[in-house]
Amino acid sequence: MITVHQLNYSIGNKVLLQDINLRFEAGKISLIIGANGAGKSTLLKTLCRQLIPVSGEIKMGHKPLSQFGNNELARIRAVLSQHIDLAFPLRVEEVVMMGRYPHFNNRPDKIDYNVCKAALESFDLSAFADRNYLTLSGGEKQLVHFARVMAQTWHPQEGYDRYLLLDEPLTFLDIQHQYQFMKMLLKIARENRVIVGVVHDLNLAAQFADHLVLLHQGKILASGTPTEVLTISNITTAFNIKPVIQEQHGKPLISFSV
Amino acid sequence: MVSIAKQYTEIIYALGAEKNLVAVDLSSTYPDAAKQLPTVGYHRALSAEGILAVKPDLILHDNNIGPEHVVKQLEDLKIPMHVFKKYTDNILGTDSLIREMGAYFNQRKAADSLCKLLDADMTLALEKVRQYKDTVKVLVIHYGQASNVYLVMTQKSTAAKMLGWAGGKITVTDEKGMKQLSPEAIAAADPDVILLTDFGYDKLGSLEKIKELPGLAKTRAAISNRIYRVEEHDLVYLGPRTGKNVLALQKLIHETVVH
Amino acid sequence: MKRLFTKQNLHNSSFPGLLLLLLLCIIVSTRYGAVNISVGEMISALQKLAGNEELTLNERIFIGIRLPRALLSAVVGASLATGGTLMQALFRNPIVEPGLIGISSGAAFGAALYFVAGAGFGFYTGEWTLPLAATLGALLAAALVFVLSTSKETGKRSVISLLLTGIAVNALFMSGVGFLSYTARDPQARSITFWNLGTLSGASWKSLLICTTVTLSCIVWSLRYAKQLNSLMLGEEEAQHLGVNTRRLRLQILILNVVMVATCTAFVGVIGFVGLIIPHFLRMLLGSDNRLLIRNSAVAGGILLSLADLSARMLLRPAELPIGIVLSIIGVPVFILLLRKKTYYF
Repeated sequence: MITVHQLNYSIGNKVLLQDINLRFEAGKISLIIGANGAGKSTLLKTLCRQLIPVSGEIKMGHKPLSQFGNNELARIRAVLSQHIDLAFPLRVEEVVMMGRYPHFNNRPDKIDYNVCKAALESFDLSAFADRNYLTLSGGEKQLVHFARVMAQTWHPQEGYDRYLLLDEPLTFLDIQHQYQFMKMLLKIARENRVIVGVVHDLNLAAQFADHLVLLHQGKILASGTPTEVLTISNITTAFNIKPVIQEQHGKPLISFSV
Repeated sequence: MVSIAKQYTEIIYALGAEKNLVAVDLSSTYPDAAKQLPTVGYHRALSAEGILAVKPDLILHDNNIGPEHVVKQLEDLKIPMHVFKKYTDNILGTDSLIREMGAYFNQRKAADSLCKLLDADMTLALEKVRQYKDTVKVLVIHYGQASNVYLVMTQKSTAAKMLGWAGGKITVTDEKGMKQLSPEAIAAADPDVILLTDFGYDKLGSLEKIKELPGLAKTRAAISNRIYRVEEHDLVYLGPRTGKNVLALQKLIHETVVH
Repeated sequence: MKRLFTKQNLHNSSFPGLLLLLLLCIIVSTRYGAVNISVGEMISALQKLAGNEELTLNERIFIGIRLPRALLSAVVGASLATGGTLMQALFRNPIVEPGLIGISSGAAFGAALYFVAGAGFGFYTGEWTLPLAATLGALLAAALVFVLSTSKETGKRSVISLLLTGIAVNALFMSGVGFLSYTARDPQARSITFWNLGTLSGASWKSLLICTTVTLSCIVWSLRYAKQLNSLMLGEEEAQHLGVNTRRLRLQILILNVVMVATCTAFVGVIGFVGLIIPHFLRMLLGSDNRLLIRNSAVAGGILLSLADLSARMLLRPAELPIGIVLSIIGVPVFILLLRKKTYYF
C-alpha cells in the first residue's frame, strides 16, 4: 500500500503539486489522469523518489519512502517508463536479467536465471531470448522491459508489498499492444501488487482502472471508481472540453464531438 | 665504437682513428665516409636498443644527447661510455680537444700536425682580416623557412665566432645560439650577406626562389645576390678544418664578385 | 525448453584465451627488437639473476630494457583500453575515449608544466612528481569539461555538449602545452615534444612498478561497478530505478579513470586510439555486458599495445617510431571499418 499525506511539490514560485492525499491499495490498478501540466508525471516521479517533495510524506507500507535503501527499494518496486533505448546492443535475455541486478552481487544465481526464464515465458518472449534488443520493434521492446520490471519484483520479499509504477507505458504502442499490455496488467494486479500508473487515454483508463485519480492544476479534482471520477463536469473542468458519456459493460465510454 | 657527436666524428677521421667506428649519429655528416656508416638516429631522440644493436664496446658522446632516460639505461647496462673534456669554444679549446683525443686514440703525432695546420690556417685568416676595411653584416639561416618563421643563428653561436674571425658579424642577439625570427625582423636586420645551411638551401632549391621569400626580398643581400649555400658541418662546430672554413667564409663574404 | 544464456558460457571462456594470447605477445615482443634475444638467453638471464651471476650484454638488455618495456606496454594498453570501456559505459556513447574528456591533454599540460616550471621553482622532483603533476592536470581538465558541459537550467549533460566542450578544453590545454614548449629552454622543450609523441622507450622497472600498481588496483576496483554500469545502458533514470546511485557512480568511475590513465600517460606520453578501438572490437565479439568487457578489454588493450610497440621498434630498425604513429596507422583504418559496419552483432 502507498499512502500519500499532504504532499506538496514546487519549483521556485511554481506550485506543481498541492495538498495531495492519496492511498493506493494492493491488488488494484490505480491510474492517474489529467491534462498536460496537471501534475501527473510530477506525482509519479515523487512516488519513484526521483523528486523529493517540499513537504508531506509518502509511505510504502508502513515505512516512509525516504528511509528506504537504494537496493532495498529496487527489490520491491519496479518502474516502467515509455520508450527506453539502449546505448549498446544487448541480448533480450541480458536486458531482462538487469531486472535481477538488485538481487545479486556479481553473478546471478539459480533463482535469478529461473526468474528470467519465467518472465520471458510469461510474455511469450522465449524465442527472442538471444535476439539483439536493438533489432526489435517498438512493441516488442516495451514487452521486454515489462518482462524486465516483472523479473525485478518476481518473488515477494518478506515484510513488503510489491510495487509497480508505470509512467505512460502505452505511449508508443499500437492498439493491439496496448490491450495486450493492459490485459497483462490485470493478471499481475491479481497477484496482490500495488500498481500505480499515468495514462493518457481516458477510455483505456475507464476500462481497466479499479481506482482513478484525476488531477487538475496540481490538485486532486476527483478520486474513486471510474464511474465516480469520469463525470461530465469533472472532465469539462479538467480538460476544458465537454464530453459525451455513454455506458458500456458497466464502465463509462467517453467521446468528444467536434 | 659509436660516436654520437659530430665534432668527435670529424676529429676521429682526421686522426685516422676510424678503424673501430661502427656507427654514428644522424648529424655526423663529415667526412663522407661517416655517412656510409649505420646511424643510431638523431642525437636527441636516441633509443638505447638502436645503439645496442650495433654491439658497441664504447660509446663516445659529448653529453648533448637525449632523451635523458637513454643515458641512464646505457649506464645501467654498464655499457662503456666516454666523454672528452669540455673546452672553451675557441681555437685553443679545439686544439686541446684534438690533442686529448689524439692521446686517447694513441695518435699523438697526427693530433700534433692537425693542430699545427689549424693554427697556421687561423693565423693566415686573422692576418687577412686586417686587409678588409669593412665588417660584413651576415645572417645565417638554419633549416630554411618553416611556416614563415626563420631559424637563425645568433651572436652566441659558433657560426658567429667563425664569421667574426672571417671579418663579418652576426647582429642577431639572444641568450641561445639559435632564435626564431619573423620576416619583419629579417627585413629590419637588413644583412649584407645571407648564408643558408645546406638542408634549407636545397629545400628551397635556388637563389631565385630564396630571393622571393617574405622578409628576405628587400634586403641588401637579396638585391646584390649575395645569398650563399654553406655546409652545416662547416659552420656549427669547431674542428681541424675550422681554419680552412674560416678562410672559405672570408672569401665568400669579402671577395666573391657580385653579379 | 530453450536454454538461456548459452552464449554467455562461450563468452566467459574468452578471458583465459585472451590472457594466453597476451602472454604470447609479451614473449614475442621481448624476443625481437633492434637486438634479438633468444628464448635461451631469456631463461639463462633469469637463472643467472636468481643465482646472482654476471650477465652477458644480451641478457642485460633483456633484463634492463626489453622485459620492463614489454611488460609496461601491456600494462599501459590495459589502462587505456579499460579507460575507454569505462568512459563509453559512463557516457552511454561508443565514440568516447579518455582523451576526449581532456584526460590526455590535461595530463600533457601537467607534465609540460613539470618539465618547465618544476625544476625552475626547485620543486621536489622524486619518482612520483611527474605522474602526480600529470594526474592533477588531467583532473583539472576533466573537471573543466564536466562543469562547462553541464546545462545551467537542467543540470544535465548532453553527449554533444560534452564532446564539444571536450574539444574546446583539449584545444586550450594543448595550446598551453604549445606555449610552454615555445617558451621553454632547449632540453625542456625537447622533453615536452618527445613526451607528446608517446614512447615506451623510457620503460624501467620503477615506472613499471608504479603503472602496474595503479592500473591493476583501478581495474580490479572498477570491476565492482560493472553491473551498475550495465544498468546505466538503460539510461540514468532507469538505472536509478534499479537501485543505482548514478551521481556517485559517475564520480567514482571518473576519478578512477583519470588516476589510471593519467599515471600511465605521465610515463609514456600521449597514446590515443587504444581506448576507442578495443571496446568497439570487443563489443562486436562479446556483446556489451561490462562484466565481460572490462576485464577482457584490459587484456586486449595489453595485446594491442605490446604488438604496436613491437612494430614501433621493428619497422625502422635500429631507429624507433613513436608508438602514436604506429597506432594511428593501424587504428584509423580499423576504426573507419568498424564505423561503416553499422550494426553490431554478437
